[in-house]
Amino acid sequence: MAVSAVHLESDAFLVCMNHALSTEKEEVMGLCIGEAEPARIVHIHSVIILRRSDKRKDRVEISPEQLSAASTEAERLADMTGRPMRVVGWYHSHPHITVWPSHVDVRTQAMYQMLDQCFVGLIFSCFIEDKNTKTGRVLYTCFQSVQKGSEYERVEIPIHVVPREAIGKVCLESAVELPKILCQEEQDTYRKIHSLAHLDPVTKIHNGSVFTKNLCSQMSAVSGPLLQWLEDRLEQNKQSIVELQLEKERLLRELAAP
Amino acid sequence: MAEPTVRVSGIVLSSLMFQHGNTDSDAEGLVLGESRVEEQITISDSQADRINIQEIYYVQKHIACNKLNHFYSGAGEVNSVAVQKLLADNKQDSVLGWYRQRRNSDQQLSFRERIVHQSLKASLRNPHLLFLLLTPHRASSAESTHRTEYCAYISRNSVFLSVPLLVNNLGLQEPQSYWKLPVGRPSERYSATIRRHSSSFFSSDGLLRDVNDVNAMNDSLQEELQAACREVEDSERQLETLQSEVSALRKRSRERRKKSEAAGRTGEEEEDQRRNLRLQEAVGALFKRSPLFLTQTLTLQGFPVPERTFSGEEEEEEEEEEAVCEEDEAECEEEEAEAVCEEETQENTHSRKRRREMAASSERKRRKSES
Repeated sequence: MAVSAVHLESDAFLVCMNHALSTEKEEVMGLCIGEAEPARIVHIHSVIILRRSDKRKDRVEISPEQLSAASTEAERLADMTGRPMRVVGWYHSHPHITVWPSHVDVRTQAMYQMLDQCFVGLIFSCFIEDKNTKTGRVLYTCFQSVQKGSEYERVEIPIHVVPREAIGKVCLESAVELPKILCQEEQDTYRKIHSLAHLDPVTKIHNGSVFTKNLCSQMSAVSGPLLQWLEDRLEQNKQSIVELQLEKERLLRELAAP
Repeated sequence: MAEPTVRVSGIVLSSLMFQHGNTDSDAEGLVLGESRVEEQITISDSQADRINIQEIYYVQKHIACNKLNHFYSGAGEVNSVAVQKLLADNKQDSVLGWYRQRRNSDQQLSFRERIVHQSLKASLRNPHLLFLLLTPHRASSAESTHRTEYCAYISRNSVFLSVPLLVNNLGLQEPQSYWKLPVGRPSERYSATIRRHSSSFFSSDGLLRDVNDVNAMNDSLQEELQAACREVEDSERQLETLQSEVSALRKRSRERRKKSEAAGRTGEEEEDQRRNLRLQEAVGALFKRSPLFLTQTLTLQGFPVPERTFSGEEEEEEEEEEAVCEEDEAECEEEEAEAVCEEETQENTHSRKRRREMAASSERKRRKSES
């Protein structure tokens, strides 16, 4: 086992969880950016939300182009932070199903590990509900793969969410990227349909309505709450800044006194 | 019958978990939003008119308390002033309830939480107050898997009912699929009618007006999101800088306070020592010969054990002891006389010496019993 533990910064966790909770109808995915220590601990500082070209229910796959784009993004982050950032893992969601990786997930993970031994996989299981107690549940797990004969098996990797009270710039940018990506996916689908030459006006009007409806769902379920949350966060930060400023002045007076 | 449901967006639920992830202890605060009552009328074969009332609570934001037990006392009494201060500019009407997050504990209300809930309900005059409970756990011993359970509770007739907490998401509505095939082979009159009205749907470039409009609206929303993101980012950096400055100042202040306390304490300790020495000298001078100043044996009650006791019984015992001593003495003398006779018959010089020693010993015993 190449990795002894994973430290996931809490602001990156926020972005992953929000992404996983954005839809219960299909699996979402993304890449983890961070660094691997000599002590075999992988630090995840931020995540990149990925578009899904093939929205199959039972599998998620990252294209080589996406991996390449993510590596470029990691280099940009490395320049920005002055730390050796790279793509260190991937995450995806399991809506309504168990948190454990499927055999496809384990094989996909094994494939990534051939390129990088420290590559880790995260899975977020959500929209689980106990009908008796009416209790909802979310789970997350971290794993790698090990070969056993001709098959691969899951290896559990301890994961800890590391506190980070202030949200990093990269994570904020990733968070607001989600509605943009959702809109781009919908626009691409609509454009492909609309470009079909043989469609009659009524069909085009219907398709336009479907597009409008889907975009409205995105605005009400994702963009709207996200904007509300950003405004609330700003308000909360302004209040904290005022309180801290007062405390700073008080402490300075106290230290200046003989 | 009213069936309550609580709805929350993914970002608010994630934000709650994010807040708890940044603390070592439990976390609590208020949840704000709006509520709505909807009536659903259903008609079935058995019943002509069945009205289902649905209460829907939309949680839109949460206000975290900086420290625990902030707005209530140890007995669970809510402090209204603290609640108002927590609300700040938010209206009291928008308070849907309160929440608590506690690690590795059961997903059920504690006794104190019940008391606090009832007290808060009375304080806010909100009979439909909610309580959200989130309980994160370590789901595997290897710490590779973690689980958070969550539920809302509402008090009805002093009984707490579980209310499902549902996350609003894109998958809630049934997706409508795009049509890829034309309607069919339309009639001339059908095509003419559609063509007549098409201009109100399509713009000059052949694109649908609604699609253009909704795209424009969405683009504006994305710009607002980007702008809000930049503002929040600036405030986060400002907050980070201030927090580290204040932490450094707090540390300096603590160190300074420790130093001055230590200096004060050293001075006090020396003064105490000098006072103790002077006191010892004074006591030694005043009570040098006092038996109280000397080492002595004490009873369990702390009184010194005297050499003689003077109670009536003890006097009699003392006299008996003296009588016994005198008897012993007389016996000793008799024994000595016998010994003298025996010895006179057996030895001469040695026996006289021995007699003298024994006489001296008996004299000593007599003196001792007399004293």
